Amino acid sequence: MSITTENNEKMITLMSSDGEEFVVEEAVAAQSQTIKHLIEDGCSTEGSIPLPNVTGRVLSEVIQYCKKHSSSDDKEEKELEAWDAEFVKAADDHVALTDLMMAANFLDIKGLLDLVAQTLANMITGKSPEEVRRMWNIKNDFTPEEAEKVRKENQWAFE
Amino acid sequence: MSTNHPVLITCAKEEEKEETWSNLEIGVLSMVMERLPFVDNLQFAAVCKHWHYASKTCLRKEYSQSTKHRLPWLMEIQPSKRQVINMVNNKKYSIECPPEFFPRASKKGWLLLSLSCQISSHLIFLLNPLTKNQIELPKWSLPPFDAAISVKDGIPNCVAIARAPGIPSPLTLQIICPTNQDKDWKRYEYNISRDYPIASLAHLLIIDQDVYMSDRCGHVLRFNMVSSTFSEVVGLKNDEVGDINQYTLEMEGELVKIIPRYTSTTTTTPRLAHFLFYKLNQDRTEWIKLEVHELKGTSWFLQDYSQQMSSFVVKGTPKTEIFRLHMVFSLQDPKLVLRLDTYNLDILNGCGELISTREVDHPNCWVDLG
Repeated sequence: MSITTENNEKMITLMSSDGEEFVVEEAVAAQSQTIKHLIEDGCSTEGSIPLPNVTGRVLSEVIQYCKKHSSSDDKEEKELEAWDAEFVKAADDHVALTDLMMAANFLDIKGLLDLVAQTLANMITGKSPEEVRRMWNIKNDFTPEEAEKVRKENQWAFE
Repeated sequence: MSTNHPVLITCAKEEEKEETWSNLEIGVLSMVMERLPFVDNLQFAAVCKHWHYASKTCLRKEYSQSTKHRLPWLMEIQPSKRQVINMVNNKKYSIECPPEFFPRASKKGWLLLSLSCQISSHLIFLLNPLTKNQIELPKWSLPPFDAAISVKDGIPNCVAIARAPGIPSPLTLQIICPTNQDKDWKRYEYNISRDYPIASLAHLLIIDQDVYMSDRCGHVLRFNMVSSTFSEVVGLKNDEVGDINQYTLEMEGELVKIIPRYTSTTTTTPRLAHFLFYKLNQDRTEWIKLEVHELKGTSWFLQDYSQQMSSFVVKGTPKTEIFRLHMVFSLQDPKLVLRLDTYNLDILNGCGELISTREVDHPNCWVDLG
């Protein structure tokens, strides 16, 4: 389904995995390389583009990011940086960040992927494996033998 | 993910969180990993099985892409062991390597270690303390020497070894490159004409296809590995020639120079110092002063003692600082002591103010652990 706005901007409809529809300008959607290729292949003309890997909640955040980044030019770099920082802060916990990252990966939005990966890396930096597990609720699934082996492998990092 | 079944969400929440992380695609995990500093990468692998697997599969490809924000470490050369100190948190770690080995060069996580086994024969190998990968290199028969490593996509692709000129031997350079997937390393040897004015070797660098050899007076010799030719790199203008304390370093692919001028003293640490910064222009015809914006957020790691100087410059640090390892004569003891000084640099006028100084217990050198 393609609609055109007053200023002749072509609109694209995106459908999330849970059936939510989002109507966005083509320029915004094309921030995603995946969607850009779908549009180029003519997939958008016959209705909405289904995104089976992305939920509506995550997709709305991704669209927020794409809107901001398609409307800003290089001159506003500083402002954009501040906006990015606020954006990841709003995502709040690592589950939301992980969802965002997987969506950015699937949709192939490099800027967003970089931003989230760096945020996650900053969260891990300086923490012990146990602290990381606790922070992100990850189960320690090493058997005692494996754990000892891993410890030995990296002995000098655990002093 | 259970988003399509809202009923399940409450009881599945904890599990879902875990699942998110253990199912995270390796490619996505590797994007987080390559942004982690050296030690955190090791910690990362110890979190859970999936991460451990991920770190084993992507480390060699993705790791060490850039040294941005990654400070060199201080390596302590103790009689029985080698330890490295993280400059951010001052934590010490032991490196697993035989204590008789000495570090000669380092780059993006790789160390070049040498062991003098006989009077005129040196055993040398490359070690990555993180991955534990080792590469044995052909023996070297002309000690003492300087070395440099070049690393591409996390794997060493070239080693340069040079021996300073002496009597009766001229300056000798060897290039060692892998010929067959790391297995066979081939050695090429070049003798350098005595016409080039290079007194001793202070710094050896590999940048792309070029090997740069320099002494502390600022003479720089370039060897192009493609054409196998030597050429002398133009010197500084007359007013700088008198300096015998020049460091020639690499900053993100460019050849740069730092010339410190300390308030002269042999017994204490000078509180103030002045620094000059240059870079070689693209045509290699002139050294030009580094602009204020180029200097901003650079940290310089200098080593002032020993013939082989391990010095680095890192771009993208929050402050602009100079770290100096040097030796002073202590009047109280009296003996020679090693000190580590930190100067805060005023990028507008090149003035450095001493902000900290401390004694170090063992001989040290800077190493680039990636």
